[in-house]
Parts: sequence; structure tokens; C-alpha cells
Amino acid sequence: MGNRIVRAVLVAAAALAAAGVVLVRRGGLAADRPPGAVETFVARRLVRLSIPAGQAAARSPFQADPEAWRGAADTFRGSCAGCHAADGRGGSAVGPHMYPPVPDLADAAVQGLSDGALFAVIRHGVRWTGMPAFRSTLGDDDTWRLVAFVRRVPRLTAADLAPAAAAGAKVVMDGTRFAPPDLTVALGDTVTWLNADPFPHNVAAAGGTFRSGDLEPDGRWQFRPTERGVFAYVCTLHPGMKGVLRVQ
Amino acid sequence: MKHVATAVPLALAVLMAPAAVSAQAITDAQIAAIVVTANQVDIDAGKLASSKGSSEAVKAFGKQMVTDHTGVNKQAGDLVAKLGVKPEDNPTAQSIKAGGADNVRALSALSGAAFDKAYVDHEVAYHQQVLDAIDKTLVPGAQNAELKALLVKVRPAFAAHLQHAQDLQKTIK
Repeated sequence: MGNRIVRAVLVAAAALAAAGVVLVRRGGLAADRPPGAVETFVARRLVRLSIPAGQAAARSPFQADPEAWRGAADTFRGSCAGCHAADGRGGSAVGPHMYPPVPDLADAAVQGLSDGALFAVIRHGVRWTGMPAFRSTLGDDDTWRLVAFVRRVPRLTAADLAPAAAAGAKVVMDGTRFAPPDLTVALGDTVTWLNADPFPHNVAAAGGTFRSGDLEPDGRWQFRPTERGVFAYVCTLHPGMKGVLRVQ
Repeated sequence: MKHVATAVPLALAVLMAPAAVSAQAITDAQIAAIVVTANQVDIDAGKLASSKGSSEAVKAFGKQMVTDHTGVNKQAGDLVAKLGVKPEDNPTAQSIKAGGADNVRALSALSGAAFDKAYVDHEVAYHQQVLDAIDKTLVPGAQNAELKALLVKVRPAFAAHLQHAQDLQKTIK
């Protein structure tokens, strides 16, 4: 009885190994062939199975915070977008050419994973894929925020990704001047004004298109233009403190 | 013409005073005292204007002077504390202080449009003299790079105040 099972297992293993050899001989280990349906299915099952139930059931501390993903936008841009692309859809310069190809994070295969499973994948990486472990570089909170970002991927809009541009679309009010005094942004970009002076400033467009309140020292104000054009603005508190915002 | 009579002595005091301490001789401790005093006298005048001013524009300007100069003074105070410099009283600081006290005394006797005009005229003269002092005495004399940088950083605000005061001056002539 026991012998028969052992023999069956050995035969099955030998058959699998033989099939593996045949497959490898036919297709090699090249990365430029799309994975077959069986391989994809098995690999995905394995990823799921490899995550301990306890980890998969873990709950995100940001579950009640619909804006948590915003806190991961910079991390995603810096650590993930290289392979996953800025929008998380996998269309980066290298993503489609890896083996297995970098998945579209909006895909059901990814979105179907629990928050805890996504956390585990980011934290520990996935063997035999390009997914590295971020355990040593990202803390718990940042990892959970990334999970929130992954959840957001199916609904990400160009405006959501605008912080990439907004990071540069910043005007510092320093020495009673706007720096840079002339800024060009794309429609949909968010512009941030930051007051680095020890007294209040404000931002007031000539035509009244936009106007901040008075910004205290270290205060900031954000504005996302909704129309193209050239907008001259001033600080009404300090005559001569002028800036131009060009929205293309 | 009372306001002119009050504005001119202070303007002269501030104008003449920096010459009393030559650029070479002035120390950072003395500059610190001059900066703090110069801001303080305009805070005092601004407080008076924000309550006694007749037009809303003058009141608002007075209020802004209090806010801006208080901010500058706080930053100057923080820097001086960080550098371990103890502001040292000197003839320039003393004459600015005396001029400020004279101005407040003269303004206290006025009201209505006369107050507005006297206050704004004085603000124009005061900011012109402070800019002059920054350019000719304080920036060239500052030894510490951070102190010098702070003076350079706040200068445009004083220039904006001057322009603002001059704009106001035109409306209340």
C-alpha cells in the first residue's frame, strides 16, 4: 500500500521532471516568451499559498482612511514605478520584458489578493520574479500606504498622479519674492506656494482667477488650475512682489 | 503741517545715526540691537495706527507693519540667540528709539485724516532711512554670514513697505 503511493509519487515526479526538461529544451529559459496559462495559474496559486494565513488576514491600519494612498505616491514613484510604471499598470520601460512580465496592478489577479497578502508581497518579495523584498527599506506604515496605493491603481487619474509634477511645481515665497517668479505647469498639475518668510504673504491672481488667504510663515497653499492661460499674480500685502503662472 | 514737523526729526535721526557708527567699527552685537530697535519702533507706531487710524487702508497697513516687523524681529531674535550674540546698545539704536518715541508722542496728539497723513508720511521716511541703513551700514558691517543673509532676506520686505506707504500717501493727499 505504502509502496504503491511512494511509487506513484516517484512516477509523477519523474513525469513532471521529464515534462520540465522537455519544456525547457523547447523553449529554453528565455524571458521573451509569454508564460503559458498553466504556468501562470500555478505560479499565482503558489504566490497565494506561500503567504501564511495569518499574514494574509492582517488588516491595514489605514482601512478607514481613503486618502492613505496619497502618502505612498512618492514611495511608489521612487521605488516601484521603475518596473510597475507610474500608473501601476506595468507598462514601464522594463516591465513587459521581464519574466514573468510585471503584472498590471489593476488586474483581478492582484486586486483579488487581500490587503495582508499585498503587504506580505511588498515586504518579502516574490521568489523567481523580479519583485524584491522591501522589508529593510520600508516600515510598516509606509508598506500599508503602498497597499492602499495598489488598491487605488484601478481608479488612478492623471490628476492623482500629478504630484509627480507638483513636486516640482512649487513656488517659494522667500525674501518677499516669488521663486521662481515665472512658472509653467501642465493643466491638471497642482501648484504649491510655500511661505519661507517670517511674515505673511498671499497669492492673488490679477483677474481674481485664484486667491489664497494670508499664509503664515511656513504656511502653504495649493491650487490646481482648471483652465489654460497666463496668470499674473501678486502678494497684495507687498506691492512689487509679483509672479506669473503659465498653464499649458 | 505738524506731521512733517514730527516726521523730519526722526528721519534725520535715523539718517544721521548710522554715520555715528562707521561700517568698519560696527559689531554684530550692535547690528542686532539696531535691527531689534528699528523693528520695534515701527511695531509701536503700527499698533497705534491700527487702533487710531482713520481710514481702513491705514489701519490695515498699521496692522501689517506690526505683523511683518514682529516676524522679522522674531527671526532676528532666534538667530541672535543661536549665534550667542548679545544685542549691544549703541548710539544708532538709541537715536532710533528716541525718534520712535517722539513719533508715537506726536501721533498720539493727532486724530482723523491728520493722523493718517502724519503716520503714513512718517512710514515713508522711516522705511527710506531703514533701507539706507541696511544698504550702507548694516549689510556691509555684518560679520556673521547668517546675520548678513537675514538682512539681505528682509530688505525686499522693507522696500515693499516703502512702496505700500508711498501708494497710501498718494491716496490721502
